[in-house]
Amino acid sequence: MPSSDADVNVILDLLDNIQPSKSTKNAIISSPSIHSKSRTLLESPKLTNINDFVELNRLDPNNYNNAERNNNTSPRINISQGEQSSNTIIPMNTPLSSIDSSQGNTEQNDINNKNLNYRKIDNKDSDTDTDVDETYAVTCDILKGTLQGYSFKDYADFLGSKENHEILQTFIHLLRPLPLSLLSVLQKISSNLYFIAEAQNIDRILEETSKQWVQCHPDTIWKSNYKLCHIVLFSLLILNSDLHNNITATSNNNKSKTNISGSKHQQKFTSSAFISNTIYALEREPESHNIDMNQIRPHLQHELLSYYEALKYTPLPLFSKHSSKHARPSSIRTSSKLSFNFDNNNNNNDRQYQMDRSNSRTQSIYSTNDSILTSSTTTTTTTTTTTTTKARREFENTTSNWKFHHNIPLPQLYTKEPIDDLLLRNKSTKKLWNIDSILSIIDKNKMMDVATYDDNITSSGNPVDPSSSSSNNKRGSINSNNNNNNKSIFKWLKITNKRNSLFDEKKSQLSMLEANSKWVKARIRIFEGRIFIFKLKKNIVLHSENNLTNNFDHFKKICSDYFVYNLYECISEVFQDNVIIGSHTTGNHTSTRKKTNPVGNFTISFPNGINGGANVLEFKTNSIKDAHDYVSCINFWAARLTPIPMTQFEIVSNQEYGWSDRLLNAYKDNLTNDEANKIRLCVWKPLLSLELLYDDMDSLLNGQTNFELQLLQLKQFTQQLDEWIDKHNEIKSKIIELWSGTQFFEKVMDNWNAKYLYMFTQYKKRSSYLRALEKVRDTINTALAE
Amino acid sequence: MGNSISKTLGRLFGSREMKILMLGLDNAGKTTILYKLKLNKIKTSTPTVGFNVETVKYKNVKFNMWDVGGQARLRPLWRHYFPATTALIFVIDSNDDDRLIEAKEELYSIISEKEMEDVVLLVWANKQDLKNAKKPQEISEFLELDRNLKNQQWCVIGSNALTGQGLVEGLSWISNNTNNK
Repeated sequence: MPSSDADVNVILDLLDNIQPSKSTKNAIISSPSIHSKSRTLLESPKLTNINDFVELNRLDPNNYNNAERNNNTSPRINISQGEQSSNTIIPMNTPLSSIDSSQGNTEQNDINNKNLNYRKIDNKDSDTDTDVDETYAVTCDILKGTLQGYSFKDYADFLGSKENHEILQTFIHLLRPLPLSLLSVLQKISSNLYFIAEAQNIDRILEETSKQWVQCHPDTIWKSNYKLCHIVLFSLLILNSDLHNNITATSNNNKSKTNISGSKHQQKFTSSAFISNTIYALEREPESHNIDMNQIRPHLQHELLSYYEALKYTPLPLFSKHSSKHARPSSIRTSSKLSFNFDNNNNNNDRQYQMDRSNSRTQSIYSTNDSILTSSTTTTTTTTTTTTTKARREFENTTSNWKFHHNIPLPQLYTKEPIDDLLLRNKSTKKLWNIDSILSIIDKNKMMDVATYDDNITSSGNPVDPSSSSSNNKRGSINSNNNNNNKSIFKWLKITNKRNSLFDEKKSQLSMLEANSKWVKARIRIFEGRIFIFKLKKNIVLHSENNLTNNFDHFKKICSDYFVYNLYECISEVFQDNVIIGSHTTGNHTSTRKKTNPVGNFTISFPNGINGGANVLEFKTNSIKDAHDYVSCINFWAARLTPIPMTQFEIVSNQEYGWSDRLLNAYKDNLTNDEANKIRLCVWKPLLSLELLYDDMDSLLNGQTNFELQLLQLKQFTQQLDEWIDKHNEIKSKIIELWSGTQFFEKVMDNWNAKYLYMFTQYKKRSSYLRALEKVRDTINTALAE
Repeated sequence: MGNSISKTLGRLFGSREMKILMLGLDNAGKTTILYKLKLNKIKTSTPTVGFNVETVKYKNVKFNMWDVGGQARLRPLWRHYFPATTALIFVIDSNDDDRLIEAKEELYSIISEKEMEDVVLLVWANKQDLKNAKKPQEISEFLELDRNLKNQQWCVIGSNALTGQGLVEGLSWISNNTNNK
């Protein structure tokens, strides 16, 4: 340990340099001052390149030692040397402020040498010196904050990952000597490392720390039982998270209603719970048999209590670049004898805590969002209400529609594949990919987004579907049942969020049947997974559809209103396929009243939003063929992009709906009311799924689309679903037999119906998707063959 | 995604607050899930030294998800978290046959604690996107939940943390089954 003034200055310089650079990922220290100062110590290691650094060190072994020693003797490390030298006693409750390291500089020198020796022994098994050098260099990079490819906030996870064990060893070793107080050990780590990480990684870091700690302090109550220390360290860290995490911290400052209702959850650890839980864990560890737990218990309780009290008032410092830069010189200045004033340090920690509040994590969370929010969060730690409203507004702004209205580029929903080029190559197939013309859309002036849902199921379980007409009557009753169920599903959803949308409150899907329906002209473009709708002003007359260009700006100006929606989970149908009316029945021959071809109509059903709305749009085209073209295009995109909802069907649970295998096997005949009462019957309802979020899902699923795979999976899924429906039908008679005498009969049958209907609507939709994709594939194959 | 999920959760959980522990072996996908759920922090969050705690806060709803983990000797310490826990989420790497037994042991070591008696258990059979992933049915058979958990509501849901599939379903299930608590 260098003790002359000059050397102390060198250390101070070094410490300044150790601070990580401000930039995050892939950061390379580029500040010239750092280069020049480091040079005096490390003989110009090129910090930008580990290999250079290693190379240099190999040329000059003295350098290596120098560098290590200098790193190893940062004041914070020095500070605790006093403890090290007094390790003959076991201070159970060493007041932190009493630590004085002024004694024995010579001893420190020895210890450093010891450490170096230890290092060498440690690495004796390593294959070559290069490994050692590299490990060492990486570790230095971590201490300096210059590790390439990692933000300093990821260092803890880096160190804690399995494959970096040697680096971790070296890192902890460079923090030696480790303070005697286990809490101080954590403080030391967290002031050198941004110490927030995954539990497993924290686990590994603390395990290595405790291993080295018992080497440093062989004479404590723990003796060489590092596993016990490990438990204590881990427990302390949990305590810190609990006491100081903002979840609990904010609720304490803020006596709101939330607090009262949820007060049970807000309780922080009490000291007694902390102590008893920790000791409980220690006793469960076999290593505790090596020491007399009963004898040390009073001491242990005392020690844990003192840690608890210390942590309660002073959270572990969070490493941060600016603050530690300020913090360090002051603590050194006040300790002219290189003694350590803990209170002082804690103040600095507080400051650093405060500073971090304003800018460390939030930025990374909001970085992809609008800059308004970022700036508001960075400046408002205290004015949380402002932040709240701004943040809430932010949520509303994730939809494509919102982005489109604010001229924010829309993310690409699909991954480009050869199929895209194939479709676009020729004119006849292009329509499947991109369709764009002027149609009529039903005019509902009131722009409301809270739609009622009661038409939804009826509309998707369309009564005229040919594949199911045989069971028409039955399904009629199912539908009404399900509507009730639907109500209960969404009962607990708060419908509070009003947002401009195209979806009117719908009483009937069939506006197109009504003679007095109003239609307006609109440009409807389907492509790249979205539908774009521009309602034209009444006085605008477009002479040619050639005006339809990719540039939407012009249309934004000449339309009365415009919208864009993602097509996830949408399903489109040609109205005339399902509803056969009068003159259309025999085609064009009998349409004597009309000179032109019959008009076509099609609908698009959007998934239920969180509001539970049945969102159906209706369009009128000049011909039925046009309607078919649109439907093909829409269903192609929807089928291509929408994930297959396997999850819902594969759920395994012990919830009883009335037909579990266990139940059906256990009872052959009628259940008595007594037996039935013992069964905990749940209400079947589909779980909410991602479908809820499609409205504002943007880039989430990108990379998921692979045409062929999607086609294959859809095929498998519909087959599977078919089997499930059959199976569900099979058990029906058994269920009726089982439950018919009981008071729960109706409840069980409601469950059965709800599930049947859910499966059926899913089957119908996925079959349409399958057909849409098959059609595209066939079209391509035909086009290629020509 | 994060934003969207948080919106949903706000409505999902009504005016309640729940503490949820998320457990699982390393590499099961907990972090990815946490990341997916890393929602709007309406309040400016204060990073705290130690473990990740992800919080969704929406109006007066709080949804605290604790990353709990570590090796066997640390498990008794999980008692720290038990008070007031509403639900336990256990994440399994459905693609990692070799460590299923280990996962099972870990799961039982925690749900057999007395304090966990009333907690609902959700198992996310994660990584369903991988070809050889075990289906939720297989996972549940392997875990023998049916035989061992008589009084507790449990549920195994396939999930894919990368796309978010299964996550909303799982939280929705928790919500459905904790209504009266």
